[in-house]
Formats: sequence, structure tokens, C-alpha cells
Amino acid sequence: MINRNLAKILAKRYIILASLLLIAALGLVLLPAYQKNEHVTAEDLLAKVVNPERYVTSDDLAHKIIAKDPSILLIDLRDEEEYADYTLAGALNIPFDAILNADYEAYLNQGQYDVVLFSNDDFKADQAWLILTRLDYKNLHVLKGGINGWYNTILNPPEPTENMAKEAFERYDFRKAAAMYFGVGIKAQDNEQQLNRTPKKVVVPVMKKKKRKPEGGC
Amino acid sequence: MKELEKTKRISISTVIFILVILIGVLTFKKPTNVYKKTNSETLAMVNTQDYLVDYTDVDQSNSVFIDIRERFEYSKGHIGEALNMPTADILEEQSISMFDGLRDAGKTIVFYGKTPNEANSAWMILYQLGYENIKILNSATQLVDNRFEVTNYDLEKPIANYLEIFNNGNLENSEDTQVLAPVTPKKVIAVKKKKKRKPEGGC
Repeated sequence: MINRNLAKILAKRYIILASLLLIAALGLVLLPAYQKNEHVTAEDLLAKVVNPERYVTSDDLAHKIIAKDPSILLIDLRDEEEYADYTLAGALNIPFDAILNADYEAYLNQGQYDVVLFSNDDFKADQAWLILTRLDYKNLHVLKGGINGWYNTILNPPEPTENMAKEAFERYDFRKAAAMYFGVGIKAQDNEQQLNRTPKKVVVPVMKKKKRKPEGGC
Repeated sequence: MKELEKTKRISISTVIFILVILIGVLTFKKPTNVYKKTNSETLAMVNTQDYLVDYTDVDQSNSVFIDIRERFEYSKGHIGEALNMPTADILEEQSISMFDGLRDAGKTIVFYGKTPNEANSAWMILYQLGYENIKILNSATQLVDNRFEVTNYDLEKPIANYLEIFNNGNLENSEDTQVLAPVTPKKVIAVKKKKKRKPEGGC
């Protein structure tokens, strides 16, 4: 009897298995389209927000600009007028409203440069950082304090008082020298020199390319 | 015999297939916090300034202040009935259920920190998760002589006359330099092309 029953079930096993598969397949088709987080999840975004590493101090940035660090890309998020009035040396202008434009994506979403975002304060720059970081763009930084902070620390640094540590004086000296470099209180002649200096920065990558050419030609 | 082996294989693979589907369905995890706003919606909202509220404009009876600074700062002094929730904790289960409760009750939540800048990140994340009843207090807060002071804050306002420090027509020059700068990334693309040439040269 048992054998006969077993044989009956075994005979139908393909039908049973096939119907099971069919049910599973139908179930998969009918699964609700679940909401998915594209790119960065809120939790990861929060973890990045809490991490203060995204901020660049104006002293660090001044060092980098003066050393002609080729790895930084400065992005000015203010509007065109403010950009035309004054901006940091070598910065390019992407107005805050336009940060999601496809035209600018190549600048913001790349792995070769450390992008430093700045605005008047760091409020707008931080918002832009959040929006772009949610898109999983890498290497984004925010200039702490923005242009205002830049003015207060580099261009117009507060003089240290007598009772301050030696480092404060050294920092003040550096800032004063940096301010000179960035054109504070220099005559028009020097400004022309500065203008000539900056194109050299652009020439540097070109020269590298020339070096590579013969290597390839061997 | 061959026939039998073949059918055996078919049934075994079918069973494995069904098992895989079952395991997949059972281990499916739903993401806890899902963005309700797209990036462009967020950008549009950020541009409106509607999310900023002055201290005098806050409807005290229908709003809840939340201090997003660290516990220590909060313990030293805070706005009267403010609750404390450091930015790092905003996505904890308790916090989310609290936000849900306040949203359903139709209350406005006002975030504040030392400056609006500090409260911004927390607000932006929660806004993108769909909490539209949250605002940022457009004020700087400070502890002065053991008294917690709320002062108005000029957001993103450039320092007046900051260009005077240059004293001369430096402006056009600096503009010229920027025109040059954007060229640099474009040149990087050229480097890639040369890589293609390399094998050609190697012949």
C-alpha cells in the first residue's frame, strides 16, 4: 500500500514541482515595486554629515593655492555678479541653482580633483555638499566659513595679542604673507605679474603630457 | 538508466530553484528610511528660504524647539522648552517615531544650533525623508553670562566692502585668471586619449 501511494505521488512529482515553480514565478512578478534608495542611504548620508572631514580650513586652502597644488578644484557657488567681483584664485563658477545641471556634472563628479565648494558663508556650500553627496559624488569638500571666513582669516587676519602662543604669531605671519600673495595692497604692476603666474598653473599638466608622448613612442 | 538520471537531475535542480526563490523572499529587507524628495525638489526647496523662521515668528503654542547641539552644550543652556537631539541621533528609531508623531499632530518642529549652519544638515536629511513640518531657526544662539541669548543672524550675507582691501582694479585681473582655470579639467580628458595612442606607438 505504502509503495503504491508513494509511486502515485512520485508519478505526479513533475506536475507538483512545475506548479510550485509557476507559483513562485508569479509571486515574483506580482511583488510590489518597492521604494529603493538610489545612491546613498539616509543613514550613510548622516554618517558623512557628522564627520567633520568635509571641511577645509581657509589656512589649509591658502597653503594649497600658494603651493599650486594641482589636485584641488575650487567651485564658487555664488551668483555670477559676485563671482565677477571677487573669487578665489583659479575658482570656477557654478551658481548654486545650477549644481544639478548636466553641464557641470563633469566638474563635480570626478575622482581626480578634490573639489572645494564655497559660498559667502558655509551654509549654501553645505547644502550643495549634501545634495551632491546624496548623488554619491566623491571628493567633495566645503570651505569652512566661505568667503567671509576667507576674508576674516586670510585677507584681513586679526592681529595676535601679546599673551598668545607662538603659533598664533606664526599663523599671523603666514596669513599676512598669503594676503600679499592674493593681492592685498599690492600695486597694479604686481597684479599683472600675478596674472602671468596663474596661467603657468594651467601649463603644468600640458608639460606632463609631452613627457608621456615620447614614453609611448619609445 | 540514463533516462532516470536525467529526470533525477531535473527534479533536484527544480527543488533548488524553488529554495533559492524562497530564501530570497524571506531575507528581503525593506530600507528603513526612504527619500521622499528627489534632489531637484530639495534644491528648489532650499532656494525658497521658506524653511527659515525667525524667533519672533515662531508660533509657540504649535511648535516644538529641538536643540541639535551636543548634550553638553544643551545642558549648559537652551531655549526654554527645547528638547535635545544631537544631529547624529536624528535617524534613531525613537527620533523617527517622535517626528512621525509630531507630524501627525500637525506641529511645527524648529531646529536650532549655534548658527543656522549647524542645524542645516539635520533639517536637509529629514526634509528629504519627507518631513515638511521642520524649520530652521534663523538665529545665532549663545550663552552670555549664564543666560541663553538668541540673536538674529544674517545668513550668507557677504561682509560689506570686503573688496576695499584690494584698493585697486584687481577685479578684472582675477576674473581673467578664472577664465583660464576651467580649461584644466578639459585637458585631463586629453590625457586619456594619449593612452590610446600608446599601443600604437609601441607597435
